[in-house]
Amino acid sequence: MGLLTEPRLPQPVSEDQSAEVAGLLEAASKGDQAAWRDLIARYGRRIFALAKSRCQRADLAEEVTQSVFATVAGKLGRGGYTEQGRFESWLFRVAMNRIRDEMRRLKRQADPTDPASFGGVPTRRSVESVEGVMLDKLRAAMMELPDQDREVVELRHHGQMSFKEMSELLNEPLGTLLARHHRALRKLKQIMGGEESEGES
Amino acid sequence: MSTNNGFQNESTPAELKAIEYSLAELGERERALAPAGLEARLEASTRHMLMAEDAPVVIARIGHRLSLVAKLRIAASVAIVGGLAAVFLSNGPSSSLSPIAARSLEEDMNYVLELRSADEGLAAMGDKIDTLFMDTSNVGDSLKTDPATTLLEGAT
Repeated sequence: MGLLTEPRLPQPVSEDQSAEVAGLLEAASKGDQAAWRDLIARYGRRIFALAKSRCQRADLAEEVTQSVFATVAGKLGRGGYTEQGRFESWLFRVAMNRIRDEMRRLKRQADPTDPASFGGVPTRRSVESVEGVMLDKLRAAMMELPDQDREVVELRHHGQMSFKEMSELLNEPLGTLLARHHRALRKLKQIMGGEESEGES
Repeated sequence: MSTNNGFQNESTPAELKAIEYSLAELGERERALAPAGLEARLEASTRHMLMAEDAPVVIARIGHRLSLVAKLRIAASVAIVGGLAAVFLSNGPSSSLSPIAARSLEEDMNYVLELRSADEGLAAMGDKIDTLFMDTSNVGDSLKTDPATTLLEGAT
């Protein structure tokens, strides 16, 4: 496709980053607003992007994100969370549970939604650029993936999780997740048709 | 994918790299296009929860637990009292009190009926006595007006 000059693929969390997050969590649990703000800045948009990709609605995604951070804040405020280097996995587990709850609620409401329509509605940026059009097609193509494969793709690219973290989160072997990811990429490439190879050359 | 970017175990086949990069770009855009002021709203809506260590939350937790226990106790009490009441009402009163009460009531009713019949008999007897008294008085009056009787009285 060749859309990116410098793709930012998710990186595994380093020990330094883990220590930094642990320090922020400890400070936030003692009421340090700056530390809490920092945590929101690090994870807020990642959770939002993941939720938006699942729900396809920005308002619901923000509700879910608020609910996730409310859970985390409540847990920290009551001293109910002990950091053991797995904050990110726990945070995203809370997020995934909230998202699933929201999806179930949406299904109960029987709001008719045609997956194809999500990608069919042109956004401002898709009108603006060829890259935007390609990304809109990619977004629509993702809707055709099996749910398990789509989940891995979204956690990886919208939530910016490493496979190791995903393995902890989903309680699945690393190899299984890698296989799912590759299968999803192949399927997406197939759906996107010849545009990928054309873009590459 | 190179090995110096932390993906030694997460390598992607070369033919899929382009689509992977596109997904990375899509994710990047979704994060960048989050609604303006998202972080500020998240902070504003969760700040008070983070400060909940000042005790109200602890009180709330204890209260919450107590209310659950209290609810369970109330439910158990209602069930026990209701059960006992049902057993008492279905078995107790009818088996121990009703035969005595029924017998007493029957005897009372018989007594009242006997008195009533006796009273009716006395009333009839009184009527007959009154009738006899009236007849006697009439006879007495008729004798007073008879001349033969007057003569007899004068003779005496």
